[in-house]
Amino acid sequence: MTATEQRESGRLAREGTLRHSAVLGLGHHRASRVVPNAEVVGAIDSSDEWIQQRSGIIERRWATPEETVQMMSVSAAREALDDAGIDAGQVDGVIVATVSHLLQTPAVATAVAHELGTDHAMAFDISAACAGFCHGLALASDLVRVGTSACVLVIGVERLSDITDPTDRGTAFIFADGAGAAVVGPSDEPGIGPVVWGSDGEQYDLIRQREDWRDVLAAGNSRMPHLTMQGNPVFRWASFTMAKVAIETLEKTGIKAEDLDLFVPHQANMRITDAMARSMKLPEHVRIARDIAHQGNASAASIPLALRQMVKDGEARSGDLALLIAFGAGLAYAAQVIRVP
Amino acid sequence: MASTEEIRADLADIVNEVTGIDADDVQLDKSFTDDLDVDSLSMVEVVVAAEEKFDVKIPDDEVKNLKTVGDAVSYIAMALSTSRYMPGCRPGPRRAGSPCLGGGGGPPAPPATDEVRKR
Repeated sequence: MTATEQRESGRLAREGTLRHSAVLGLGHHRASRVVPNAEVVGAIDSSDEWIQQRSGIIERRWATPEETVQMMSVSAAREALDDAGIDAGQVDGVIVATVSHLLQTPAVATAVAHELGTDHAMAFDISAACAGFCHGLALASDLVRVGTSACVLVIGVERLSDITDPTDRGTAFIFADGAGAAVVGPSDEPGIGPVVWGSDGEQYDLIRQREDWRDVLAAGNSRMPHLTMQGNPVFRWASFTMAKVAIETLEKTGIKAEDLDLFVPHQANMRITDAMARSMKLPEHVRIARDIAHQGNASAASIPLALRQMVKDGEARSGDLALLIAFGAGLAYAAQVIRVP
Repeated sequence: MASTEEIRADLADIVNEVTGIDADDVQLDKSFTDDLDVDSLSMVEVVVAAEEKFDVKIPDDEVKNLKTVGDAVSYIAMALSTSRYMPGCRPGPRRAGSPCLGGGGGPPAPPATDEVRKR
């Protein structure tokens, strides 16, 4: 209907028409401080051998003081925009997935949108722990498909070293810092498949910040509250329940495991990655992301960091089908298949 | 009713699939951690596979009591005798009246667990 007819109808206008969405570019910023196992073992009375066997981590990346959540987000985003051949002025949405932006408000996404030079893009943070990037990707895909947005940056970023207790045996050797970004825009062919996502709030305490900020202040602590995690139940949930989600995602996308080129799970732990692949009976030809070995677990940043690295190394080629599956505190999870840009 | 050796053999296959350890090494007297070098994460995988294979439940707080292969076999045998799993019976959701819980004859099935079967 015409604009006049629309106004006279009294109905709410509905913009856009359905179209396909795709990841148009990828970027990353690895925190620059390389921290080998030898540096963390003292405080937790452990060994390089034990850490490698337990998690597959050889070294992890921690941020320098200059590498703030905002700085790493902007850096990863710039590389993604460059990769996509898109100018920041075309971006009309910025979604940042993080749990380590340590201000309740404002969202770091608005600062990122401003620093990148977008034209007042929509911008907000989402908090879905290690599952955040895939949640963000699903949101961005739908926004673009329906026509609400033209070009959305999805950024997963963490400075988990700020909220990790170096003496906590369950987490001190695991968590790390970094950022990864994807540009999502319209496409002639479907480039982002349907999401399978959900939560299990009964397991709310399995991975969490130990204390509420108010408890910390009331106790007169001068320490930050820290992350805590129950390793074995998390391993079980991730390796088996999430393997079923992965299979469901393939089914919902209408592809078989044989069609997959890449398996990019959240880099929680190499043992989880291997157990998931076994549980899914992943075919031999599917290349598996193992970025955690030299990065550690960077939560919301882990999937875009891993995927971008696979592209840089030539392990992932343009047009490849990649299954992304993210899972973490909440418990929360989200998974989708994408075509590599 | 599965024999001790049948259970041991099936469990040994599972341990082999998860860890690569030779099934013949998985004997009743062997300790998982000390003799077979199976750590707690591998035990989780073994336990989950065993639960599926034998259609029994092995709660997390029981797992730490399963120090040897013999402990695990005994636990599975006991769990099998209370669930009255029969080889060839297709396990379904745990409902009273389901054929695998002895609906339709014999003593009543044990009470259903409180735990909801999640995905």
